[in-house]
Amino acid sequence: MKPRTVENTKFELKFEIGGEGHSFPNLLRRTLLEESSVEFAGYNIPHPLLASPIVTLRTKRRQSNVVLREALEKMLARTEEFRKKFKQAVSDHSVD
Amino acid sequence: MEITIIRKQENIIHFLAEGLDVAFANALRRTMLTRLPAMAIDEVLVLENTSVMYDEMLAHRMGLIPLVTDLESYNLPEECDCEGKGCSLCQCTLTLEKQAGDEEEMVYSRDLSSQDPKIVPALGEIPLVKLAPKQRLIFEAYARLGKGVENAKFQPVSTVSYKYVPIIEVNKDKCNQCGDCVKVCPKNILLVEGDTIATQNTLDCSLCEACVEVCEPGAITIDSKKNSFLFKVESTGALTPEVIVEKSAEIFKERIRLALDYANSI
Ligand code: SF4
Ligand code: SF4
Ligand SMILES: [Zn+2]
Repeated sequence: MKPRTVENTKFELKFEIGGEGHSFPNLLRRTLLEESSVEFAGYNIPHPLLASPIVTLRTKRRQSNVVLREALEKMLARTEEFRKKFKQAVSDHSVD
Repeated sequence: MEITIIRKQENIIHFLAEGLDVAFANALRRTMLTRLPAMAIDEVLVLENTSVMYDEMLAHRMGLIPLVTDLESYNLPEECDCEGKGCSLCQCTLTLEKQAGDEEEMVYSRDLSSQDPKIVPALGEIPLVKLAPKQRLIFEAYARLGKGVENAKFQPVSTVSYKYVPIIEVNKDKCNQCGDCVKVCPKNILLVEGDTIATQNTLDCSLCEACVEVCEPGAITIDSKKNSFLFKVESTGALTPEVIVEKSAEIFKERIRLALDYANSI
């Protein structure tokens, strides 16, 4: 996970995530698209051997880096929710 | 999000996760496969090998033995203070010395003796090589933590999969109780009950739709629930399946946090 900015303007952000495959940028894209101010979110992997997807985000009204931050926070909260609920489910299961 | 454990065995866990996106389910699956570290033999010093197997072949087989992993006491070599040179904090030595007597003898993974009693082969009965009378094997092997992205031998899981939650519906009015679907179902989900077809253990349904194909009147429909996944995590024995799932979620969180640091910096 080594992010690097390719292009950054108010409503458009393009960045590369070094060392990642499809799963991370795909989830990020899906999460970004939940937000109504996102006009476009997608990623592309220039070469399968390079493992550096480039995420492109275009927004309207709201600043792109703020939207990105919110999406990542959402992902973080969901993963934490998953971890907690899984842990709880495991201890509940051991009881019965 | 709701999570329910369906079944838990020593090395396998089945759980139902409801209310999550397929992209999230897949990101978790990939994290368990490729990002969660596990111990494996990575270097072998062959002192003597008079067996019929080449040194490199033997070393390859050693690498594939799943080792019980202790994530707390070992560092990843790239994160270790020794800068990856190899020290007791990131490496564990296992040795093997065996000579066949007058009979041929099989060398098993349990014959490896480890410097650390916690880092041992998860399964003792993996055959490594068969020695003919008087043949001898002496070597030293160095195990370290690694990740599945580097080499599949470091994967702590042999299977991580998820499938959709099946919804099986039989239209009572169309069904003529021919029983064809009951016979054809490979998972024994369907059974004749009175004047209709009942279902049992529906979570085991593999969504193969063989029943739909064989049903002449078209009385059966197979559908799947949205945003619900049945996970199956099978460990190699390196870590318990519960630890695998939980640690993977932590590792995934760490990656999101790194991305968040970046997002905050721009
Ligand atoms: S889809 Fe396949 S497994 Fe499921 S009920 Fe039909 S025949 Fe059985
Ligand atoms: S195959 Fe169709 S018609 Fe025959 S018993 Fe099954 S559901 Fe009923
Ligand atoms: Zn070290």
